Amino acid sequence: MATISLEGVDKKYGASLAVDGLSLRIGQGELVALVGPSGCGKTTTLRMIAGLAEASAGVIRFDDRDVTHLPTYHRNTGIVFQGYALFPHMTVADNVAFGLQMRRVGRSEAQRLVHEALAMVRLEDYAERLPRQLSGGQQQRVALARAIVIKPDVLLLDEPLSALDAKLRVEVRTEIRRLQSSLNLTTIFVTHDQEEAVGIADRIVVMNAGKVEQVGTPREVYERPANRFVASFIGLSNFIAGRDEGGGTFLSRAGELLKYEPDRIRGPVEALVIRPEMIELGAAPAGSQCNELAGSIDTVTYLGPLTDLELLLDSGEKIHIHRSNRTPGYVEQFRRGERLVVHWPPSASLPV
Amino acid sequence: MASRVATLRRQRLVVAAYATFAVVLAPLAAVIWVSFFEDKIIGFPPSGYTLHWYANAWRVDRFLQGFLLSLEVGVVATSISLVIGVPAALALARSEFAGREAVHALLMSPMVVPGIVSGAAIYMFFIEVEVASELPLAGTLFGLVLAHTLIALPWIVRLVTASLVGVDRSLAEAATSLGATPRVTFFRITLPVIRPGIVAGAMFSFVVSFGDLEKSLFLIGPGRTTLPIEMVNYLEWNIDPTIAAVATVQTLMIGAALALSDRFFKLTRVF
Repeated sequence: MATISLEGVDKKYGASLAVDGLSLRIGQGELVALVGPSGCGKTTTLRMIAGLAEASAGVIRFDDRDVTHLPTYHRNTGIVFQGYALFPHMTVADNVAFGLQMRRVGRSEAQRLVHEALAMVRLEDYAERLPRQLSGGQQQRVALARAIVIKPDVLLLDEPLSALDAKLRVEVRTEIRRLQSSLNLTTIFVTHDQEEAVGIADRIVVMNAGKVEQVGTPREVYERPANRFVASFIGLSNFIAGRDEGGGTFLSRAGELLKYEPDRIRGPVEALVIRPEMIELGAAPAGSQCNELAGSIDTVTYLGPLTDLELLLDSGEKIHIHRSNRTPGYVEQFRRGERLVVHWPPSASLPV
Repeated sequence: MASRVATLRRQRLVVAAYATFAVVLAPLAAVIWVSFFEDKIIGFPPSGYTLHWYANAWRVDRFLQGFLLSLEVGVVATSISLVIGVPAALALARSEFAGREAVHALLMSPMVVPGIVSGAAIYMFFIEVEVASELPLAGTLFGLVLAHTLIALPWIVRLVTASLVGVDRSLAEAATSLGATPRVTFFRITLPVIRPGIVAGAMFSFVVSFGDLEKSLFLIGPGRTTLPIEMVNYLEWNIDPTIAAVATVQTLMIGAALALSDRFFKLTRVF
């Protein structure tokens, strides 16, 4: 296990920069998710750490070792690919043993380690099967066992869950997290799915167009997005456009004065972001500092645990409001076209 | 109602398929049938059936010699094609390089040029080289094998490329990440995974070389004649069913090779 650091790493493809001056430090035993839309450079970054792509500039280190120009097969990384990439002509046990053979681990020792790794992913009874005889989730667990059995400096997961169906995805995700923390594996998890990233990572790196937009814990990234991109990419956000009046006040396009906490400012303020679950229905309680807006209900969508109300504001903007469905019959009272007043505290206004 | 219409349409398609199959197979069936006719002059109906012509074919030394030469040329040409074709297919399927399309077109071109044209061209080329360098090429085994390599190579390239396309690239990447050098990755991972394509390509190359007539016409030498050409020569002076017997044996061999390669690799994937 190692600390991974990237210093000013670039990747050029012809004239275009796929990764642009990326600097990042991943601590020993930490699980970091690289998340962003397709083409943001997250997979390229992972491939550079693995040595499958060469950095055009910058330095990549495992602890103090400069690995920037080291070939993949000398790097000691464990990779789990989106399509599993199990060797189809080898049994599950041989797949897992492959990395040990390359390291010239003795036969009996290798056998023991393979068994141990398969037990960790609860597949010890499948050792003699061929990959094609396993389900997708099982194949992905074999791939995981194959990657961790070599005790890699870093575990690299490239969209490991996207080939699985929704239910299995959560299961395998939990499994990865459990293994990762019990083995204290330095791990990089690449995904385009922000929910997955929020659900698994110690820290999230939000990337866009080859650059890092924000690095932080899932909570920081969700609750304090650094900019408009992060706010729109992580979670569902309502944007209210307008002009900053300074001192924690913001003038919306429709002329309402909205309050926010000025210490939240990270750069020039162009909009306020309000998360749908932070908005309460009804007028602001008397004497509170809450912001208040009115509009008419556009759509009501029942989503199981919650109901999504789409409110058409007088400014012409639409905002989403999520209310829990804990109270039976609560959803039925809302009708399209009905006027509705909503409010939220200044702390829920995120200036971006 | 709709399903009845669909069933009818499918039945019609099946009939058409069998009709096509029959048209393709009829001449072949006729040859096999004729090979058992008792009469020396082929006529219908035959006065009886015999295995005499098979025994006769075996006794005609030129058929046996032709068969052995065809076998030898086919095996050697296929082997050379494998050595050139497999790495070429790997490069074509796996990497981007300048002139990739041109190399691909070049490797496939022997399939496009009519055999008689390229046969004549190769012959003239050999003569020119001989005149210039005094190296004997025309009419030698070496020259024949060289020409047959051209026949075989496109099939190897095509089938191996096709099997590589179906292989996930991350397999090799996974192997290198686990510590395998490119060499080890090739022999332990890539080669076993594409082996069916290689076997099928080799079989196909051999079959095409074994049955070739046109390209070889110009390139054979005295006492060095391939089986298809021996058959044409024989037909010039004889019309007894011996030739049908030889053709039947040849067809069975080719059929067996094709059936075998289809077991390894679905040939329909290439066409």
